[in-house]
Amino acid sequence: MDKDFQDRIDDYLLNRMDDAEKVKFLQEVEQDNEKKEQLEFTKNVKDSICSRAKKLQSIKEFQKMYEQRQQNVAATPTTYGKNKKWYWISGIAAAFVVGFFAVVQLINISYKPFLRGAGDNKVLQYKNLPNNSLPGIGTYDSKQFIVDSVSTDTLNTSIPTE
Amino acid sequence: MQFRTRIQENEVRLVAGVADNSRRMQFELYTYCADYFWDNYRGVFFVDKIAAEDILQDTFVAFWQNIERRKIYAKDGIVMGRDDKPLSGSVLTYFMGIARIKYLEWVRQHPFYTDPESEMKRIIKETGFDTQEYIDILYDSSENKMLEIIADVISHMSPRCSQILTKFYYEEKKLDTILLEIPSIESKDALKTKKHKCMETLRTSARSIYKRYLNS
Repeated sequence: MDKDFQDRIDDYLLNRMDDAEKVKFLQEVEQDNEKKEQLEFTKNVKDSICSRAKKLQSIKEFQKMYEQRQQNVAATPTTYGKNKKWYWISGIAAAFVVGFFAVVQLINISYKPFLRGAGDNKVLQYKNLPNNSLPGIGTYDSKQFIVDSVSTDTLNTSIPTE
Repeated sequence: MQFRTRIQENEVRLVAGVADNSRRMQFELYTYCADYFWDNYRGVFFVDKIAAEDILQDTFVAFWQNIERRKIYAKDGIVMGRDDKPLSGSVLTYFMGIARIKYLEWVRQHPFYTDPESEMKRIIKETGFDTQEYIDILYDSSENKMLEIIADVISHMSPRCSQILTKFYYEEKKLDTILLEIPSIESKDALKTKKHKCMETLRTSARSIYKRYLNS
C-alpha cells in the first residue's frame, strides 16, 4: 500500500479535497489499477467502520435499556405480592368451605341410618325392641340412640328382654 | 396457506422491522436474542460473563449486518435465508450459530484460553472450526463479498487499531486531534504509521479470507 497515496485517498473520502483536486485524483485512480483497488479497499473499510460504530453505539443503548428492563422485572412485585390480601381472604374462605364439608361428612359417618334393609344386622340387634316400634324401622327414642352408641354389654343390660 | 406459529410470525415481524431500520424493532430483536443468549449460551460454549457480553455484542452486530445485507430477510410471512430458501430453524438458532463462530474467534484471540492444558482447547478440538460453516453464515452470496469480509475482519482487529480507525473514519477527526486523545502515541508520524499498519493488517487478513472464499 502506498502510504502517501493513502493520505490522498483519505482526503478524498473525508471530503477534504476541493473539486479540482477531486477530478485530478479520480483521473489518476482510473489510470492505475492498484490505486483503484486501494481506493476501493479504503472505501469498504470506511463503510464497515462507520456501520459497525453506529451499531455498537445503538447496542450500548439497547444494553442499558435491556438491563433497566431486567431490573424493573426483578423489582416489580409478583402477582402474589400485589394480591396478597385477596389470597389470604380466598384461602380462609376455602378453608371454611372445606372445613364445613369435612364436618358434615364426619357427622354423616357417625350418624346411623334409620331406614334399614331386609338383611340389616341392626334389625337383628334390635329384635328385642318394644312392640310399638315398626318392623324394619328404627325409633327415634333417645334412649335407644344412646344405647346404640355404647358398648354391647350396656345394650344387654339396659334393654329388657321378653 | 402455510401454517405459521406465533413465534415464526413474531420473528418475521422483527426481521422485517430491522430491515426497515425501525429503532423499536431493533431493540425488540436485541431483547429477543439477548434473552435467548443468556439462557442458552452455556450450552454452546463456556466463558465468563464479560467475555459472553463481548460475544453477544459481536454476534448481534454480525446478525444485524446480515439483515441489512439481506442474507436473512422476511418474504411472504417467512424468514428467508441462504439461496432464497426459508431459514432452516428459528432466527434464534441462526443467531446462536453466529455466536458460536464469534466465540471461536474470541478463543483464538485469547491465548489464555488456547493453552493446551485449558478446557477451551479441548472444546475447540471437539467442536472444530468449520471454515465452510464460517463462510456460509458470514459471507453469503452477495455483490460485494469483500465489504462483508472487511466488516467481519474489523470486528476482531486489535482495540488500538479499532480506536484509531474509528476516530479517523467514523468520527472524521484529524490526526492532530487523535494524537491529543491518545497520549500514549508520541508523534503524528507514529500515529500515521500505526494507522497504516492497521490498514495493512486488515488488507492482508481480508485478502486471505477472500482467497479461502473463492476456493471454497
